[in-house]
Parts: sequence; C-alpha cells; structure tokens
Amino acid sequence: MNRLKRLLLLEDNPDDALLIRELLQENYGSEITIDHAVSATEATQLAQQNQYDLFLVDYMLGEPPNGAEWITQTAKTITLPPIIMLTGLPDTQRVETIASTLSEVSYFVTKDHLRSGALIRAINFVQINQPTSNNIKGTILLADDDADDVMLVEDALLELKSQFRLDVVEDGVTMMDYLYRRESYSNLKGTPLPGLILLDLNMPRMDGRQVLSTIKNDPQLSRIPVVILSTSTAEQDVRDCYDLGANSFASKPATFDGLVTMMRSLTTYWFDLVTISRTQ
Amino acid sequence: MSTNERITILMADDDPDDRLLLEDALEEVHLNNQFAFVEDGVELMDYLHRRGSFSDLKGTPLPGLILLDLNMPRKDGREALKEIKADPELRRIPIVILTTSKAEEDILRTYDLGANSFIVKPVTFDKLVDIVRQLTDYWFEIVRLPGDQPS
Repeated sequence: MNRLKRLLLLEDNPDDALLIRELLQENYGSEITIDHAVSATEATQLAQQNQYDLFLVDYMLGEPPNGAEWITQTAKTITLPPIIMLTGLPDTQRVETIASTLSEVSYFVTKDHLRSGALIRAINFVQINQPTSNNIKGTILLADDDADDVMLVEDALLELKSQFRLDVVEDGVTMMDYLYRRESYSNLKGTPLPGLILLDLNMPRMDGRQVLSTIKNDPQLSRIPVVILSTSTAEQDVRDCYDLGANSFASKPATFDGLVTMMRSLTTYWFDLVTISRTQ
Repeated sequence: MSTNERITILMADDDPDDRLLLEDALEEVHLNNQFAFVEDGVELMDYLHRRGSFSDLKGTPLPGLILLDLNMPRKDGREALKEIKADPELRRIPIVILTTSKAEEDILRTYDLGANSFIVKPVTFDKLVDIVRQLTDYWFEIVRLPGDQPS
C-alpha cells in the first residue's frame, strides 16, 4: 500500500476547502501535505513545480476552465496522478457524466457525501490501487452498473488488503472501449489487459451476455477469465453463460461478509491457485 | 451441499499413478462425490458421448467437472478440449486443465480453446490435497455449476 504524502486540492470555495482540509487532517494528520490552489492557474503552477500523489479537483471553479477541462489541459504537460473529482449537489448528474468520460478521474465524490466518509474511502482506495511493481498481483476489471454494488466490491477488496488494481466500467460499451484501449481509454494502449473480469449480467447499453460472447469470440480477449457475478438464480442463465464461454458463474452474495468471502475466494483461486495467461 | 454430492468428477489422465494420487487426494478432502477416470482422449470422448464401452451410461447425468491432463496418447487433452468446447451438448461442462506443462503456449492455447481454468500439477501429495481442496471448494461452494442433465 502506497502512502499518499502530498496532494493538490483545487477548490475555489473557501468553506468547502476548509471542510476538506479538516477531514484530511482528522484522518491522516501530519502524514499528508496539502497544497491548496484556488484557481486553475495556481493549480497549474503547483502541478508543474511539485510531484503529487493525488489531485482533488472541484468541478465548478469560479471561472473557466472548469475542473474537468483543467485535467484535460494538464494531462498534456505532466503525468497525472490519480484524481478524485468533487462537485456540489446541483451539478451531480451532469458532472458524473462528464467525469465518467475522463479516464484520468479515478473517483467522483459529491460534496454532500464528504462528511459521510466517501472522500476518505476514495482516498484509501486510491492508496491501495497504486501500482507498486513489487506487490501488485494483477488487475481486476469489474463491469457493474450498480454504484452501490461497485462500492461494496471495492470495500470487500479493501478488507482483504489485496494487492489488486481494480478498474470499473458501468456498461458494456464502455467495457469494450476499455478492453480495446480506445475512445476514452486510449491512454491505456500498451498496458496489460486485466487478469480477471467480473461481469454483471444486467447492464445498460449492452447486455452482459452479449459482452461475454464478444469477449470469448475475440482471440485477443478470449483468454481472459470471465466470472459472471449475478443476482439471477435461474438455471437457464447459469447454463447460457457457461455455453457462451464464461469461466465461472457466481451468485452475488446478499451480505457484505458474504461478498468479502467471495472476493477472497475469487482472488485466491484466480491469482494464487490457477495459472492465468500473462502475455497480454 | 448435498446437491453437489451427486456430481461426478471426471478425470482424464494417462498416468495410473497420477490417477491414483488424485483419487487419494479427493478422499483426503472427504468428498462424497463419484469419481470417474479415463485414460486418454479417445476414452474421454466415448465416455462423454455415452458410446463404445460407456454406452451403459446412456441416460445418466454428465459429469459436473472435468479434470483434464494435456499429454495423453491416442488423443491428447488439447484435441479433446477443442472437441468438447465445440460441442453444444458438452461445452458447458467446466474443464480444469491439470497438467505438468507450464508452457505459456499451452496456457494461452487452452484458455483460448475454452478451458475454464489451468492448474500446474504439483510435485508433492500434500500440495495436491491442498489444490484439490481449494479446487472443489471453488467449484462446489463459491461458484455455481451448470445444472446436470441426462445425456
């Protein structure tokens, strides 16, 4: 687990900035240095002068560019660290859409959730997901449109202090973009494909069965183990998935403990017990 | 998991010692399942198609899990795997490759052909028991198997 030592906070609202600093102080004390930029210009200067482990970027800044635009601009000049995007309540829907198209943004936190721990959880998760060449066992791709389920899986992995990078996609179309390293994922070109795919069956934009079939019929992707995670208990669904080439079918556990156990078993099986193809 | 106890585990391996070791390991793990053994790819296909010396099995459920060695005479595991995964009646049966080969080529190719998992045979019996325990836990407790149907 990589400790975050220095972070850049781009936030023009002084009250929000104060709250965030307090939260960070409370949780991390003197471990973290926080550089606070109130404008995009100031942030750009700081980003160029210093090395940061994390950016906390507010979407709505006093004047243009907005947070997302700043990220895109900055990506051209420096290698971006993980980014958590923040936004106030009225903008949530729109900003979520925007943030989800930016592959640089790891997490999205709404300001009304700051006090409930969402920010700290996001930061903790970023720390776990920091690839360190010596202890990262592999990447897991989770395809699930239910944000609560996604958070549960992330938390379950956190509980295990597992050494896995978790990438998340919300629908079939984004998933194929991710796997083919195109569109918003073209920055991933050349990086290894995930070692395991956890696939929810019922997602918008492209049905899980279709995605499964596409993956298993593509010689570039068919070797990646795919474990279906589904709330369905129908025999026919289980059969269909195995027929389409799923490596396994697992029923989503009803409890958090059940999910932790499942994640532990899945990661042990796929990353410790069996041998998976490493040449991606 | 009494429903899983009705599942037959089929092992295809040409080495009689390896077959015996696996049988011992399965017993060590206290599995109440039926085990069946075939010696090569030809027997394997006959068994699955309920023909030849296995025609008396017609009407009985297919195995719920196949442990498949790659290097076998008459028809090797790679060929058998290809045939099984191309057959609409048989393709859904999970196949775990259990072989001495560590070759990247084999790993890649067998996953491409539809093998559900690939495990390198361990050298010690203790390790084999360990693997068998984890393997059966996974396939019988963690994930769901496709339902068995009579053939």
